[in-house]
Amino acid sequence: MKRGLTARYPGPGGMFIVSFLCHAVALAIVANWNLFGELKPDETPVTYVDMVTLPVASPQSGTPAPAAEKAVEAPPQPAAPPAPPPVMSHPVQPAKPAKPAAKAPAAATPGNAKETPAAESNDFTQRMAKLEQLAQERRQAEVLERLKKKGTRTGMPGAKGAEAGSDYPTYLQSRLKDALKEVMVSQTKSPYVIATITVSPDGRIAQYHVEKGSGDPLFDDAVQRAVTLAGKSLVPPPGGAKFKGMFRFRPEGVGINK
Amino acid sequence: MRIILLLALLLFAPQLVLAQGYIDVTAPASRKLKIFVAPTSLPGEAAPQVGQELSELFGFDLGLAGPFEISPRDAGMAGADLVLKSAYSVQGGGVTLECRLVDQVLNREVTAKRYTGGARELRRMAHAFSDEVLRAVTGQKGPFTGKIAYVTKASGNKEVFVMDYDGRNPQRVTNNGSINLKPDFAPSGKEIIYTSYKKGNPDLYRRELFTGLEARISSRPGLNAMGAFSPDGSKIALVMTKDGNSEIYLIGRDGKELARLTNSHAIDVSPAWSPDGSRIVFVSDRLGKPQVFIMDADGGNVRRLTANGAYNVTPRWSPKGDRIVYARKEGSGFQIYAINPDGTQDTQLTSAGSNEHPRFSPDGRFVVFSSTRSGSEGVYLMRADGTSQTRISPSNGQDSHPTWSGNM
Repeated sequence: MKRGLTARYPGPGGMFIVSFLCHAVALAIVANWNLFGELKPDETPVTYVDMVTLPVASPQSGTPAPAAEKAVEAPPQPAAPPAPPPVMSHPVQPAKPAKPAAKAPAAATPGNAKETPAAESNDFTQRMAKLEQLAQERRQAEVLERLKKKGTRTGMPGAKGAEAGSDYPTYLQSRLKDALKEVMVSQTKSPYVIATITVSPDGRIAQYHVEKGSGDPLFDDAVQRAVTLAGKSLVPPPGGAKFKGMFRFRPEGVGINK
Repeated sequence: MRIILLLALLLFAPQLVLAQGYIDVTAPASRKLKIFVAPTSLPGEAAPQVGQELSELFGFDLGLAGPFEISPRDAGMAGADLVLKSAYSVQGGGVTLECRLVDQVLNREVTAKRYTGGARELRRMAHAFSDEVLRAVTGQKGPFTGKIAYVTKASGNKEVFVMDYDGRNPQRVTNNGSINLKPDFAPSGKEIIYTSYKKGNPDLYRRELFTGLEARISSRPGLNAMGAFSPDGSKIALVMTKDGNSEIYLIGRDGKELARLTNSHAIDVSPAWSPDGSRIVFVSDRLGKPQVFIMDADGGNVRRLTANGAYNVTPRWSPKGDRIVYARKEGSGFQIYAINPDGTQDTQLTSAGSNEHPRFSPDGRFVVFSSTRSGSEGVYLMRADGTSQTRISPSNGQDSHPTWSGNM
């Protein structure tokens, strides 16, 4: 091979082209395997800006619900001034013009009877708006605090797991958790199953392989049912890729007896 | 060139996202498997009461078993994890019963069986499929085709009877008008030993259930009682008083004395084998009050098991060897307890009425016992954790001393 190359030396131009091709191929492989995360063009850094709008008490990470899809698409619309949020549409501003009138009525008794309830109503509305805003801020702070405590990465409500920055393993974990809750049954104290799950690019469970069974047929079957149930409504992994992950299924609050 | 091809191949190979390490998936406490017993379908000759009987039988067996919750008939198959389908046909005096268990979630048939026999065997066939359902779902066969032997005074005297585990189909074993006590099944379930006063002395008899052949295997002076077959069926531990006070001996199936296991001034009674045959649990008052002790099968290495309660009697080892049930005197009656063979986790299982003579089912899922909670003494069964206590006595007579055979 070496002699063959030497015998057919293509000259400096040819060598340059071969070298260029090799480098391009190597670079593409490195970028494709995500060895340099920042080189992957379709991913953006994970941010949590959407988290503050968590609408439910117990969010299901990555639930691909249609309503949530609308919520994701909604942000461009509120930017238009004609449709302000309901809280802001309360007549807080119109209450200000009433203030000068509120000073004068001390002498002008006829209008007093009508304007005082209006001013009170405005004050009340203002206070309510403030309270609502405070409550919302508190809720947002609590959610952020919970997320900080929970860990570094988590799924997003309403996300499909396919968006840039979303976390497919967490999405799949969430779907499997929901399914396991539905079918959980065991007859031993601390069973656990370790299984490899492969999701095909079209979102189907392509393979479910038990690496280690629990020895409890009831629990083993429950896990298989959970995987089957979860597999009925999965969204495809991001980037048209296959997803393969190893999962450990076990009852909540039970340690692992190895 | 090859290197370039290889690189190009790697470049255009399907992408694979790999998650590193385990991803934990947890769920809260266990629930029960919802099973729907579908109405029995009937090809051929009509016998509607049979379908009703089968549905009730499956519902009783599987509802009692523990892992299942029977879906109500109105709910249909919706929401059920498993569906039990059955069909039968009647041809002359014969019946063919076909049963299938289908997993609705996994969309697969878990098990299917066809039974053929006489019309009188229909319940037995259905119990056999209940056993099969438990085997398919939990990995361990059910005990529903086993029989329960018990002593009843329904006919005026204490006679030994045998019935299905659910109290149906009672059949007389002894009919001598005397006192017959403490039956125990051989591991095969085909033989029974019991003590009878029919010849004056309390002697031990061995009887084949299907042929009715009987032999008196121990008639030594004094008591020959509380016989217990060893797990391999080759030996019998027996209480005798031939040497003065009651002691535990080992005899062969033919009655030949093999060994004396206890030798104390105290009363030693109620021997029961560990499932591996290496140890025997028994009751002795050698420390003043009746307590449960364990010894090796050769009579050595005696140690006290129960530390609580002043009066503990009638111990029995579970088939898995992990628990021992016994009765403790509390007030004027008894209550049933279960304890680990190392003396830990001493747990009370019953509280209503007076409850005695506990015995495990052959799979260890249930405990059968006698109780006075409803007035007259009757046979009851419960799960090994004390739940689902159910009366199964077929009569209102005095039924006691139940013991559960292996599957026959």
